[in-house]
Amino acid sequence: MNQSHRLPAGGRIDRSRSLSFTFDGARYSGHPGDTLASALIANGVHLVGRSFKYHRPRGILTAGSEEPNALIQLGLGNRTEPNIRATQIELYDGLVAASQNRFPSLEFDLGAVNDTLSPLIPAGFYYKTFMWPQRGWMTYERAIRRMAGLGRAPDGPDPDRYEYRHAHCDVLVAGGGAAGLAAALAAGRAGARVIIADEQAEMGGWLLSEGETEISAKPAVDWVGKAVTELAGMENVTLLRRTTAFGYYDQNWLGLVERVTDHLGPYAADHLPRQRLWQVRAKQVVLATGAIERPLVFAQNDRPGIMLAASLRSYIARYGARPGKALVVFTNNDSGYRTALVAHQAGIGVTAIIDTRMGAVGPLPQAARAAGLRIYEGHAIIATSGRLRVDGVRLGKLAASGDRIEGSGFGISCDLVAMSGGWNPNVSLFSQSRGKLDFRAEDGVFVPGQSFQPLRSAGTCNGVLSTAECLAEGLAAGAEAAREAGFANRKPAGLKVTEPECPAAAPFWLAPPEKPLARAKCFVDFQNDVTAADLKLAVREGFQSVEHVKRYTTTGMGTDQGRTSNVNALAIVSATLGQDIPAVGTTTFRPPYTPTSFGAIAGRNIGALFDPVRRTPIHDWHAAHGAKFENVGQWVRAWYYPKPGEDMHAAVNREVKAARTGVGILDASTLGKIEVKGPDAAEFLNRVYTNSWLKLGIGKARYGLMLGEDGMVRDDGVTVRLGEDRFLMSTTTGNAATVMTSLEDYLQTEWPELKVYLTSVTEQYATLTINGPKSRELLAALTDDIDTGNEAFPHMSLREGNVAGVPARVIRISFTGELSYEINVRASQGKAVWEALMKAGEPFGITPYGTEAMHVLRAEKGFIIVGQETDGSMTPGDLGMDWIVSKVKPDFVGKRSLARSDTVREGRKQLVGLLTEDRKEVLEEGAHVVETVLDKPPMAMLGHVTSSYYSPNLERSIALAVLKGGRSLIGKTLSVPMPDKVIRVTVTEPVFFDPKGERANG
Amino acid sequence: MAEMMQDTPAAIAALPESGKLILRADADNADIRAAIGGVLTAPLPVEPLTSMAGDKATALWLGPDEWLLLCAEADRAGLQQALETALASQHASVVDVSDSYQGFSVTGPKAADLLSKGCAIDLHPVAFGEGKVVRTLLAKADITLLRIEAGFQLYVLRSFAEYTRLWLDDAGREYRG
Repeated sequence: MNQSHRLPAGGRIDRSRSLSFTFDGARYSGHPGDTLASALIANGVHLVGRSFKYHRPRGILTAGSEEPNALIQLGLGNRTEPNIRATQIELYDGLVAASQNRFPSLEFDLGAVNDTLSPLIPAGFYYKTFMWPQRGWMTYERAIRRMAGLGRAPDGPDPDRYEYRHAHCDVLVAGGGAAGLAAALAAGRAGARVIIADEQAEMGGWLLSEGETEISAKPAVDWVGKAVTELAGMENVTLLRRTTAFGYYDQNWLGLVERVTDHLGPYAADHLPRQRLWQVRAKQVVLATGAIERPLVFAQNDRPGIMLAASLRSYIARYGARPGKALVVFTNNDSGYRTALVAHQAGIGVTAIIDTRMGAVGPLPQAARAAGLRIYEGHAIIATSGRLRVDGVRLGKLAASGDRIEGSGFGISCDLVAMSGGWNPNVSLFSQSRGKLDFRAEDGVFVPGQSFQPLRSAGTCNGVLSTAECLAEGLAAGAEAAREAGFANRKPAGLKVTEPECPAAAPFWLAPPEKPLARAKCFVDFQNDVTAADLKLAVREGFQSVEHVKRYTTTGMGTDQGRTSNVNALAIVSATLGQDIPAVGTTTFRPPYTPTSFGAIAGRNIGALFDPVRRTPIHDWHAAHGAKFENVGQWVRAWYYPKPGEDMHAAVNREVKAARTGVGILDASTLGKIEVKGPDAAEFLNRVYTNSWLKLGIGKARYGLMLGEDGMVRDDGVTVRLGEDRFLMSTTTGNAATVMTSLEDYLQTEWPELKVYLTSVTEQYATLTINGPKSRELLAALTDDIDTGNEAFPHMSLREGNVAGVPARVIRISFTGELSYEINVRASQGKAVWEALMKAGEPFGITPYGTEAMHVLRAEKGFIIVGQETDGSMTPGDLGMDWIVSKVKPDFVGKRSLARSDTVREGRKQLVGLLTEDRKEVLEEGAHVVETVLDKPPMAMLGHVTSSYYSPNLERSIALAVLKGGRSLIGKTLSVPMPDKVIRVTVTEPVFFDPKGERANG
Repeated sequence: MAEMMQDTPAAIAALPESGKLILRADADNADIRAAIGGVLTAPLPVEPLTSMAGDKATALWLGPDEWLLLCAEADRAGLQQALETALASQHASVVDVSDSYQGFSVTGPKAADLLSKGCAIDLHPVAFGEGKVVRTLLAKADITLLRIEAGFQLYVLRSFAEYTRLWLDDAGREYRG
């Protein structure tokens, strides 16, 4: 088919170029400037989808983003996207589109049986029907889900690219129609930084569809062109086309989505994102979001070929399409006449204008009369016909009350119906901004009332109707916004506008149908198949709140969020309740304004950019030597280093053995390190750790336990005294940043009198730990200025000197119970020093060990890991570490809490060891420990396993656990029930290896 | 190379090894300010979010009592020594963090646009002129961001350098065409 329904001339399309596309497999053509909707109409295609519930044939209702019906499955493969509005899809060559919610075909859809059965599936059908038996829902849901939903989501990863963009401006203008352009001009001329965003491909809004309107004695589109050129020439103005302001959040923060390359089709521009999510912070906002035409609610008003009147005008004037040959206009206001006149001039036969009013006297009705158009005043459509396309309407004379028909109806043939129920200001963003809506009774609309953010509304979204008012409000709003943002400017000069006069009219909510309402199918919400009868049924069944009616009937839900239906639904509900519309209220608008793709929201936070991966300075060596890695927060640490043929168990056993018999080497660079400097540094440490620090000698190291103010263990680590007023504190890997900020917080807010400065040096140093009986010999081999003798360099002390030729701080401390040295060198030298240690260690059989072996080694010694043995509810006493809590210090963080009744009570969970009866059985970490095993849970639980490993040094499994009253249970046999068996364990002291601690001092 | 850089809308480069010190001291103390200013050959910046370039070092205001000092790698030890000597009788802290941070530069006409893909700060010249410094987030990395004549310098913790490099390259794809 080749654009059989294209007008011979006119429209903002480039007729010199043709674009080919397919819809449901059939090939069509269109022109640049077309939307998929306008191109389909130009090819005579009105049937584009099936409705959600009844599978009724549906056509194109609108020409904008409010479209409820024409939802399309666009694109192929993993680029396919469901529920895209045909009215917003810009045509490109090779576009592939398909209809949705039909089987086997759009013309013959089996689901349409629902339409015949519709009297059996009224509002709330699911709630009423699928209730018994209760567990049956699991089955019903699967079937219902298969029936429901419209399009199909792709299965694989999205191949496209999406980006973020942050921006700031003085004035953000949402909407690029008459009011928006005027506002941007006024603000831009004042010198303000302006961002103007419009969802369409071209700025101009309705002006692009209104050939009759003149601004400054020229066609309106000329003014649009001049305005856009002027704005584009201003350095302080950013023009964003194809950009929807979808969310209005606190502090004038708005979310915009820019469709950067959608209009070019797939693979069009590889270096550009498909869409860009803008996060804009605006000093002032001008909302110029326009108005949405209100459909009329009448019997079978949903057939393909029935459209909104102004949208029809847009298809004729902007797209040069001819949506039909015989038009019936149904209206309650003068703008319907405007459509009739435009259609008439375009050569479309106007069969009838049906006006619900009597004696319309405005210039437009008069012009229609003068043109000889047939007008039925005080009439309404009472039925329509046509299976896949409207082919006729029946009308009747309205009684004076407007709620019934007098006499009998009669039919008129047609293939096109334009309906106009007036205009609803588009107040979605205003409402999102927390603005209050006021109801204007004369034409039954909600207009912006009190606002709570620095914003102003201008144009039809503010309730005005004429282009002249839109321009005047836009100029004023832009100038005011700029002034509020600090840019002085004069009142902008007005613009002279010539346009058809089209005043607001009293609303008309429901045309009385010929059939009883329950069978008449007067649709209110086209997307969700909600009829006037459904709304009345909901009220009859007791739903009075509009929010409840919405949820019960699903009116206003779906991808269009009731853009065309909300006010009609509200009016019908209020009329049924016998209340005023403001008393019934309106539903709240929430972001997003139109559906926004997950891709845009995810942005580039995918793959390698999903989260930073922090690697140590020695990482490359580990990787080159076959290390397996584990994640520790954002850090990636060497876990174990399997040799060919080794599994994890074998590798870890080998590493653990080596660290106790020869020498092992561990990359401990991730440990937090903080330099503490100042005359009060020792006093500061004395307050943040539980033990005493005042008398620690220079060059000495001490282990410390840090509590929260609740007395619970928060962190631990070794701190060394570098000088009289200088310490180097180490923290756990995971808590490095938290400890730093909480210590800084104490200094700034609790103890400002302390003269102490903190500086994080975590990443300044690589920390290489050598461990095992041969570690002294290894260290001695690589240093010429540190005396490594046991007396010269005792346990828990620091020496500074050269190691492998570079300056190093060497601390003799042990997390394994073995002789051990922690060598700190500049990060940039870490890898070279590691390699030197590996080389010098060869004669001693040096073995790199990872975090798993480190865990086993420390567990053999019963050393805790904060976050593994502790969970924010363990006191030092619970861990058997009372020895580190000073009894004499006047205060330290958490001291008072250690005397609370809860922290001193009997029966708290305490750290113990567990030994399984079967030496080979390794308990699962997290497994629960009970005294008495029952058939099934619940059972009285004593606590849980916190750490569990196989210990090659003890040739058996070991575990640490926290058990209620744990220390009193030592020697007892308890049970660990697992899904397949019960494991018997004996409670022991938590130290399994070298309980006297002789090895570290050797 | 220099010509190529000029044609690049947004050029990304890792900065060479350099000296970086964290200085902490009481800026309300005139003696301390004078001692530091003498070493830096420029007044210590005390206005929030500002920096000051001296002969040997540039001082970046990080907080009311905290500065990042940038200098050539060759001057690092000398600068630390000189500051410690000048501040010997005062409560102050000078810590070498040269290896803690990796610097990057993003220069060219699209530099601010590139960074704005991950940085919520207003980088427009009217709001973020030369010499301005902030600590903020670039995507998920903490950065110290400095405006220079040709664009921006940013400093990230060493372990975030790889992520930052990946992120910058990815964000710059648009400008490489």
